[in-house]
Amino acid sequence: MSAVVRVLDRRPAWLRAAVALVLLAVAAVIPQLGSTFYVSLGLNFLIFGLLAMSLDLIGGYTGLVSLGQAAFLGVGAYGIAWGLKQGLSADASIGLALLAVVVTALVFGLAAVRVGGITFVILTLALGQIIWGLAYRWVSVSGGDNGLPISDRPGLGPIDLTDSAAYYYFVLVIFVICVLILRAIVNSPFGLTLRGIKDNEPRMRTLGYHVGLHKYLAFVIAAFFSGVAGVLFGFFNLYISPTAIDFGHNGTVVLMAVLGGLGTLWGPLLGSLVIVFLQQYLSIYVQRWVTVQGVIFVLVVLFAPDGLWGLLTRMGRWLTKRLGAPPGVEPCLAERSVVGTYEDDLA
Amino acid sequence: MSAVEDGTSALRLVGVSRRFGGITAVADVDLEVRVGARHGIIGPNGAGKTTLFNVISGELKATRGRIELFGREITRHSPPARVALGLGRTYQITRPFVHLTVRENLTIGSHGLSRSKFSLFRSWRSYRARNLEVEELAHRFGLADRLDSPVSDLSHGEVRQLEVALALTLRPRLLLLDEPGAGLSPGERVSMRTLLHSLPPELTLVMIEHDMDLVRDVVNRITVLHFGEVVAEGPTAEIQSDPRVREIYLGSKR
Repeated sequence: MSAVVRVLDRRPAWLRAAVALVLLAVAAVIPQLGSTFYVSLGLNFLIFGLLAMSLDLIGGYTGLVSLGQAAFLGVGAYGIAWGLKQGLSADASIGLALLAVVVTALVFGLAAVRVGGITFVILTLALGQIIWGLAYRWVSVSGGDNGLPISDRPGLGPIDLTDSAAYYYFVLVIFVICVLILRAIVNSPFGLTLRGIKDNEPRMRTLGYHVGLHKYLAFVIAAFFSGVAGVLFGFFNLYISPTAIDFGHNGTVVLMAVLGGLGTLWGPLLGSLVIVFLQQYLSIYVQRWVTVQGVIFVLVVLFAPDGLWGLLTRMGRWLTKRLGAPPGVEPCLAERSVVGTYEDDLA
Repeated sequence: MSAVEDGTSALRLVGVSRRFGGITAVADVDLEVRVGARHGIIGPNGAGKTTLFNVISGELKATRGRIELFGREITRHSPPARVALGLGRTYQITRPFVHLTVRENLTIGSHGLSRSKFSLFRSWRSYRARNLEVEELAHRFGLADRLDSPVSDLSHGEVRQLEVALALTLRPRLLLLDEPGAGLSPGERVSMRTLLHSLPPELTLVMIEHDMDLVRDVVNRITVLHFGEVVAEGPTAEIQSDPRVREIYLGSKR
């Protein structure tokens, strides 16, 4: 027993790979359940999970929480809709959409990364509202309140993506690729830089870092992945309207990331799973699901300030400590002090 | 005098002032530190010592005057640009990255002046040469078995040592030490002294310190600041017997 626990505690690479494979297998089985509802649930989870993870890069790792991240999803989705409407090919429309996302981020980022803290939150909120306002009012381009239809999903070679199960697998593959890239980024020297900036920005300057440039790059990279989520979102719904990028949806993305735990990549993914489940599943059975969502959020903020992911890892550590401690040996000497206080709470 | 001192200037301030509104924190300071020198800056609280460091490191811009680093004018340079020219500093109020581990702290420093800091897809743990460098530095500073501890778990003395180690990851040619001995226990003071003595002789040091034992031990030239102005400068022994310095520290007889 204690040997097993010790392996769990060390979390070796093969164990993490095994967990990832199991989760992937679960994700791959969903379309086989034969219900389009579950496929749609899964697609929502993958797309919003990617969006929440992209927010985490700028919000959780760099410490700049953006209230305008859904706007980049909007630019991505509107980009393909507009491209297709102009008669461009699907590939060209996707290219155009992602280019539009990057250009928007390059322009907005110039303003956004000059400020920090709450000012950044408000500024990104305003920038997000600009995109929403354009979508709502620039009728000749965006279709205004009616939104734009997206004619059809492109095929992928011989694979017909109009079938929702096939599209689900396509999204799953893109999702996994994006997650691998995001994970590589947060583990790179650049990712370490972002954590340093979040922790102590002035110190980064006297260690030779041009902090603004790093924040700018992080902002644009995060926006790019939100744009990828937007392209997937557009081809999923085959329709985009201003509602998808209104203030509420920008807030929901932040909610997902905070609920799951900022700065962990997996936390926001977990958060999006919970929120998508509440919105799409619980809402069928519980009329007051928004209240449930609110209560869960308040509880998490009060009792797990580092989010559901933080709560899980702390519980895991507590369990391994309880079960895995060889007699007479004090385990985990170098644990963080927060763990101590948490255990004191439990005692 | 250090053997490496070769007469060229590492740091030169000409008439440097820094004002905050109506208050002049640093007033018309002239200072010359030669390459390889060990220079102390002393003065009572509020004398403008740390402000002077902030002006040299670029965190504050000089209101007036001219700053040269190894013969190049840097008066308008940004802090990272000055770091790239060989300037390193530590802080009186220690400022490592408290949420990161010792290893992560030192690794950030070791990438600071290299293009590898923009590397996106390679794990920072896979840079062998830098890892060795970080481990060697941690070993020298008695932090080898703390490499994977978060900084929030370190003792005050260990954080002070990390502070100096962090500045050294950039291999500076001029190091500004802001009260490296502040808040240390007598035992920790001894290890800090050993540590400062072990610094390479070609590294130019400018040190703010209140602990006169540490000052006497490490530096060979002292500048005395009072109300932002230089009131005395000279070899350590000369400064210690200077009546003006005694007056500043102990009050005038009247």
